[in-house]
Amino acid sequence: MQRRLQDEVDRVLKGQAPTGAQLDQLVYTRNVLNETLRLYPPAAGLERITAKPVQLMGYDLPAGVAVSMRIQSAHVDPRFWTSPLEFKPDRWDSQYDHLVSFA
Amino acid sequence: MFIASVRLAYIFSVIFADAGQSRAAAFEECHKIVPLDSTGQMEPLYRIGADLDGSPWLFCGHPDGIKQIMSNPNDFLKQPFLYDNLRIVLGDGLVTSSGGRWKRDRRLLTPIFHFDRLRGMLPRIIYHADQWMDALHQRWNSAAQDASTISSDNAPDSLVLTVLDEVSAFTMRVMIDLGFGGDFDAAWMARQWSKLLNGFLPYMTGSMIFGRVWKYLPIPWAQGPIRTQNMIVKAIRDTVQARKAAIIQRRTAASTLNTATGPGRAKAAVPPSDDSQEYDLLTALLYALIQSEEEQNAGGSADASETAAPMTFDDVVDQAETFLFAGRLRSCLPQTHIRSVFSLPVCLVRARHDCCTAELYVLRTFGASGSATSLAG
Repeated sequence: MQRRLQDEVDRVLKGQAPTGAQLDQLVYTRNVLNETLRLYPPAAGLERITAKPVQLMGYDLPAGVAVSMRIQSAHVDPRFWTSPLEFKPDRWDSQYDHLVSFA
Repeated sequence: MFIASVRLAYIFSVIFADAGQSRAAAFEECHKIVPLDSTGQMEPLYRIGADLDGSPWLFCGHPDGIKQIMSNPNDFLKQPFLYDNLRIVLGDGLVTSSGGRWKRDRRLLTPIFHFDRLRGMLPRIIYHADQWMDALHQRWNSAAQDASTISSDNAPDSLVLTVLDEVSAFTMRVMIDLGFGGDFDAAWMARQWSKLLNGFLPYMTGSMIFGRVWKYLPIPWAQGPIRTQNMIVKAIRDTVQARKAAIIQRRTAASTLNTATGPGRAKAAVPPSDDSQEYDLLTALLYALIQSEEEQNAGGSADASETAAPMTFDDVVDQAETFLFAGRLRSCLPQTHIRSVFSLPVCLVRARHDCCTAELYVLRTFGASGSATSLAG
């Protein structure tokens, strides 16, 4: 993995400092970063509390319930990831296009 | 006796913090939700049997649930107890704030972090990376005068690096340069943040056990982090005050020039173009503050929406604290993990505590070839 990463950097940058335009060509580097963030998200969880009665994942929750979003759990859930605990940057070749931001 | 008194105070604080009956009903309702499976299989929503500050505590690791929570901030508020504790490292900035204040600051700060703008910062990031690598090479070369006898087991302290400290100091230098115009002492800031974060876990643990009285207890685990935060905030306040005075002085001088050269009145606070190098995080915050103060002096803003809540000096200080922390943590942890996964070419990484306190040892190149120049190369 390290050799492949170094080869991509050498091939794209040719020994020079990177420019903004070259960042898009560092595909494997981007995959390594994404895979690192998947397994080691800086914020592993986020905490909220229900302000009023709401339905969540099929359950009726009253007001005043603390709900912890487990970001790290979602990142290693075998329902969504193949071999979730393995560090496999290539998975992002196919999964990158399916990212959805909603915050 | 002392502990019992504290615990009693905590129990009373929980009882009077909310209506006891509705809390009991909430617990009863949540008890229907499945607990964490002993096999480790997680349900979309589960409980682990613990409570959080007297409230039932559920966990959601399903993307659909996370999406619903994040998309409905009025239904799911930021949990007050945890976010109150986080304020000791984050201040009251974008991470911990909510409602109109959060919307106002998010709208103000979003252009600064546009990806095209971040690309323009690349030369400065490369500059700091080069400086960092040069310093590391110099350190290794000067410490490895007698490299032939060095191995991973007997490496001197001067050759042992703590990856997290090294990377966090680097990211702090970048953040201070690009977000705050280099106005802070980066080395001092990095040291203080390390000290604060080292004390955060005991502080948080004590707070969860003893409740809101924890931060008033005269013991080092409670008061140490508070003292460190006060030092950081004082440094931020001094810097923000100096930068604000400089901006006002420049505007006054420009206004005087306009008056001398022709009719007209002083221009409103107009920040530099958002694609100029001058337009950093602190500049954007301060122009928003000056503009807000001028509107207040003129009788209030015409915009009555909640996103037009007046900006205060303390708001600017809080946002600065948030981004100094976020810049340190969010960027340096992934970098540290990458280094832990791959290891540097001439080093072996020993991961400890989930890689966060990984240490680098000089290995193989020194021990096998005994050549300091091969390391520098």
